Amino acid sequence: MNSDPTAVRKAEVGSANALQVNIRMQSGEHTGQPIFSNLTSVQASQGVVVIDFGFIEPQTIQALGRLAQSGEKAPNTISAKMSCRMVVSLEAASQLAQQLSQLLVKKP
Amino acid sequence: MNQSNLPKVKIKLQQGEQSGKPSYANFTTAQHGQGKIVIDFGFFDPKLLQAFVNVDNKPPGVIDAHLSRRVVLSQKAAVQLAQQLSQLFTNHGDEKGLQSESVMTDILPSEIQDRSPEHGESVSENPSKGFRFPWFKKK
Repeated sequence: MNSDPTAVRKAEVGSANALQVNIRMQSGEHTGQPIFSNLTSVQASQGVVVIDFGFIEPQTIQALGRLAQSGEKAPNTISAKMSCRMVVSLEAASQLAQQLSQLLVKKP
Repeated sequence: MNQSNLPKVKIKLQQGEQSGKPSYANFTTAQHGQGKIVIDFGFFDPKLLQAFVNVDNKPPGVIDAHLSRRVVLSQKAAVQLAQQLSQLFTNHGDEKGLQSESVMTDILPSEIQDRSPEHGESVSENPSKGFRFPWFKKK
């Protein structure tokens, strides 16, 4: 485990009842390596939210597009690789939704 | 390519040896850079935070957490994820009513733009990105 802190984040808690806590995140041997994903799936179960991050080969997507253009029948199901599966608490999932919304609104 | 011309297909996610193993996170941060959205999933011990508060009756300056996973999403995939999460919570009013629900949006071919992973994404302190401890109320 790499003990070097990779980040210090300042957390804002609440709006009026703001509580600020800095979080120093330590990355592990593998967790620091980013995983790329172009597909997501979300499901809730038993008090947690399961987020699957997947990856579809671009060639597959292009082939589908060609099939559509030529009028040929496309397959009902295609396969994608699961990049990783995250189980997050409901609070964290709610927070992630807010973070993404804020981020995507800000970004032109 | 026009999205309306694209066929809708079901996507079957195949689990790898490692990717199928779930990682748990109780907080997240999100930031964008170079056209990508970087999401960090982290875990901190809630007892640690509570202990700080109980002792000093004030929040700690810094707590240590572990990075569970770092995921880089394309812009379109991030929008998709935001919609899925929002839909999940909207359907149930709030997270307390959320028991069992599945949301999966078929991705359209034109939604995939760039697939190259970005290693070495910079992670910097940014006060505008934070998270909420719902159980925490300032006294």
